[in-house]
Amino acid sequence: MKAILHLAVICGLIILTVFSCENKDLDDYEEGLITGTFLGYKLINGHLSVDTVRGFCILLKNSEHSNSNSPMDLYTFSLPDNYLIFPPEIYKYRYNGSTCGPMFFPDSIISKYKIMLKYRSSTEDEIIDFACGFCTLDAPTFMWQFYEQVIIEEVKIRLP
Amino acid sequence: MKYQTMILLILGLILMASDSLNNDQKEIFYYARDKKIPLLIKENTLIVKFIDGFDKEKTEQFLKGYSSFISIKWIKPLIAEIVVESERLKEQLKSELYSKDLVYTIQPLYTLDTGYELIVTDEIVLKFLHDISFKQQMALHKQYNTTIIKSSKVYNKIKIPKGADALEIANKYYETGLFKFSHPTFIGKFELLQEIPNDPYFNKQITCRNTGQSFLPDGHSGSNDADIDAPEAWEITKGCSDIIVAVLDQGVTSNHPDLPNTRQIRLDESNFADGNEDDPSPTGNLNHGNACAGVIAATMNNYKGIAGIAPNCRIMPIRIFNSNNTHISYEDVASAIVFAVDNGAKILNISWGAAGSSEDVIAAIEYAINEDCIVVAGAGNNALHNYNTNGEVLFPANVDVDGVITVGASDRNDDQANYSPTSSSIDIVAPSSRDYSRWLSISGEYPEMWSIDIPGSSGYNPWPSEREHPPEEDEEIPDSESGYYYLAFTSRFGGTSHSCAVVSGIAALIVSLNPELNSEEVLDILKSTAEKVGGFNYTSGRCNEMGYGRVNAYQAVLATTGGPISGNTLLCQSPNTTFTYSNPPAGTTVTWTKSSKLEYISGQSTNFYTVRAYSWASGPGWVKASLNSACEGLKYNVWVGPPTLEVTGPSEGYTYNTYTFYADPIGPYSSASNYNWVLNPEYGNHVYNYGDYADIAFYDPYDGYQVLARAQNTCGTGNYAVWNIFIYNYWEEYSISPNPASEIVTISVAKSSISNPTAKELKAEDLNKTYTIRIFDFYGNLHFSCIRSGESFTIPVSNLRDGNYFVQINAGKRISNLKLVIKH
Repeated sequence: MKAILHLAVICGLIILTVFSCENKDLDDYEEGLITGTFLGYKLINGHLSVDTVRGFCILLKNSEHSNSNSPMDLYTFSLPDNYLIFPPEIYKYRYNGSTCGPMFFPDSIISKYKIMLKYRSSTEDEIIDFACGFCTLDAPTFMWQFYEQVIIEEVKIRLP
Repeated sequence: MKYQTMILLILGLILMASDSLNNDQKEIFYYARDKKIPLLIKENTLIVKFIDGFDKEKTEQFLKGYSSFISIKWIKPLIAEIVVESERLKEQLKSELYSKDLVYTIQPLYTLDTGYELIVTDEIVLKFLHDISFKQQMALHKQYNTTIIKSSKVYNKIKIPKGADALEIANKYYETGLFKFSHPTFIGKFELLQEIPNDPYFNKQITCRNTGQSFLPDGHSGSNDADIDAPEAWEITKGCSDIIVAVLDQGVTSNHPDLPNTRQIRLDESNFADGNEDDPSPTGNLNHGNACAGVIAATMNNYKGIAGIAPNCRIMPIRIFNSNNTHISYEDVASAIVFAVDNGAKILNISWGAAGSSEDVIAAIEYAINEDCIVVAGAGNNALHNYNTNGEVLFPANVDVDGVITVGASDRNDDQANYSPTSSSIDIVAPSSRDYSRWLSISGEYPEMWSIDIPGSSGYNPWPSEREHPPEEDEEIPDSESGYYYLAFTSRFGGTSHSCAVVSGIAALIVSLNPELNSEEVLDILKSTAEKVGGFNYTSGRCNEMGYGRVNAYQAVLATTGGPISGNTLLCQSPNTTFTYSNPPAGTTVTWTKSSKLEYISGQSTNFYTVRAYSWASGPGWVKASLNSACEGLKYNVWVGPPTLEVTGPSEGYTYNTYTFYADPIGPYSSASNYNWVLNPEYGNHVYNYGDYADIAFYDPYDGYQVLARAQNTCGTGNYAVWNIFIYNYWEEYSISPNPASEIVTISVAKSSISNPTAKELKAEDLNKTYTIRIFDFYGNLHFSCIRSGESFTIPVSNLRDGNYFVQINAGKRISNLKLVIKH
């Protein structure tokens, strides 16, 4: 009986330790959503190349852009491969051919991919110079300069 | 305090009353085809019709003395548009002019909601329904005291009484239900010759013609003349079918109702994207190619949709966007450009762009320019001027190749569009929407330019606008072609894509007039004729916001042709007439053509062209000077030979009536004079010749008279023009009873028609005559006078002394005298 009591106390301590560590850890993360994706064509000396990079759009919690036509604050090319399980059709998205901007997810899944992340701004050397192909000029051309290209240092799927 | 409260109360009541008056403002409209067409009244403006014989000089002196700010513009010899500085002065002037007995009518200047001005004076055009009797017609004219001044098979024209309101009377006439139509005679007011298309959405195409009208879908209104003057340009050219504009884009719908395949060059292998390589049609909702093609060359005057800027030129659709709206490879884009050039495209419309450049595409553009193609590229939509973001010109509009025309966007007020980049690369701007509905954009602004759409529910309309902007009722043209016509147009186009297409359309007009021009030369014309709008500081003719300014199609085509042509407008067989084409552009060859009534004498390929009229010729004609064998050129309209007239008048009538007939010269230049009128057979009737009109008094019945008229000019006497009129017989007999009489006599009118094998039977009720009754004694003294109508009427005679009298019955052309004996 005494041994059982000791075991229970130890388990309780372990659980407390784990949870307190987890909470402390998550305090350093920002909450956000993956809201869209795009395929960028790398620019080499200003010229479009055939090399492509897959980017993702991130909308931070309580962002002023939450309800805008472009729900994103940051974009990154450093989301770990297969970290989030996107439906295959998401990878067919290349870019928005009317805006030269990203393809935002449809309403049905735009709130689905919740993440906790640590990120930093890309340094000058790290910034990837890219363009999203040709687009028609009947819609506003996407203002990439209003959004920050970031390097993701750590990312977790946010617990529901 | 009590006193102040009372004043406030009174002021409040006055304000409420004035508000209520405003709310009760009378609806102003005229009737057209069972519809009320709303009219607006232009402030401070009067349309004055002066009386015949007024002293113009003194009147002008009086008006100028009335107000130093007054403006007087003579529309016609008796009609002036007068503008004063306030509504109050307008009303004062109106009263004063009437009191001076100088004017016949004073009307407001009306405008349609499009801003188009309509001048009304003292005439109404109307047509009674078929079964309305002559008696009813005359009764109505009598009620409103109007006078018939012209009758024809298709309409009548009446004159309103002095001081009356033509619009009000025309509407009252129509509201009787007796009319097919009834509206004032409107005098259109154009500053320049303009061709206004009948396409139903043309009024919304503010790019082509902006009068400040309110236009759908958002109810915005622009600024007068913030447009490209397309109707004026169309007076010179609407383009040539051999000028082909390649639209490298998302594809163009096959046999679109406003752009049929006869107006497209649809080539095998022209689809460089996914799907059938021989079919350059759009897929899904991708309507951008259609939208560009419609702005450039949608069919004009087909009563459908919109009018393209170069409506006789043709579109070559080249598809370079995949079904998921991503582009094909850069090499394939380059191949598509070369394909268009090699297949005869003269203009390349590039309403797309990217942040980076592509060597393949640059090489293809250089190839196009070297082949004398005109390359027109949209600058991009990445500025946000309301947040001081100037944006940058995208590739390939920013390419460093001479001759590529880089197009930014102006808006409905001739300001820089909020998204149009400010850059040293901008060559010119063309109208488009003001902004988009997006984060940070100007609130309440959406793409609102009109073009064609994929018919049915795909395309721009209602997708993707359905979430925010379902199609307006007006955008849903009713199904008239098995559903294909439905939703085949959109009002949701915009951006520098639209501006680019506008410039491609103008370029197509320019090269229609001179096909040997290259892209740099076309750009020079566009630059030199652009309007310096927007209030920017144009240094050496340009600024980074608007380039060389907003394009003007009319000025551009005018500058392309050089000219003008000068020469006589009336051409006879002798002497010969020489036309001069001044200022043809350097290096061009002038090719003259002429209408069939003219005989060529000399001067082909020079600036001087001599012709004469064929001996048999009479009618309208023209000479045209084209540059470098272009299908289009400067046209000069003339009249050839003696004048030709068109005679109009009533087609039937009755004896003892006088009818007016009019002889209108066909064409404005025939210089007709010395009119000769003949009635055949003449019998005992009388023709009163007043030049271009004649009154004929009919006394003898006949079932088919011919009214003939001809006139002379310096070429000779023209042929007779003929009008037929049937005159029905009509006779009246009068009787008086009792006779002798003492108190009252009754005069009875017996009406009859003499038998005529073809004349229709005359019924008494067909006539509504008035009779002037006068009673004279045997010394000629008048004792009684009155006007009566009907088949019998009574006259009081109790105050006449005993004796013999004559009762004179005046029935217009016929006067009868009856003897009356008074015996008390």
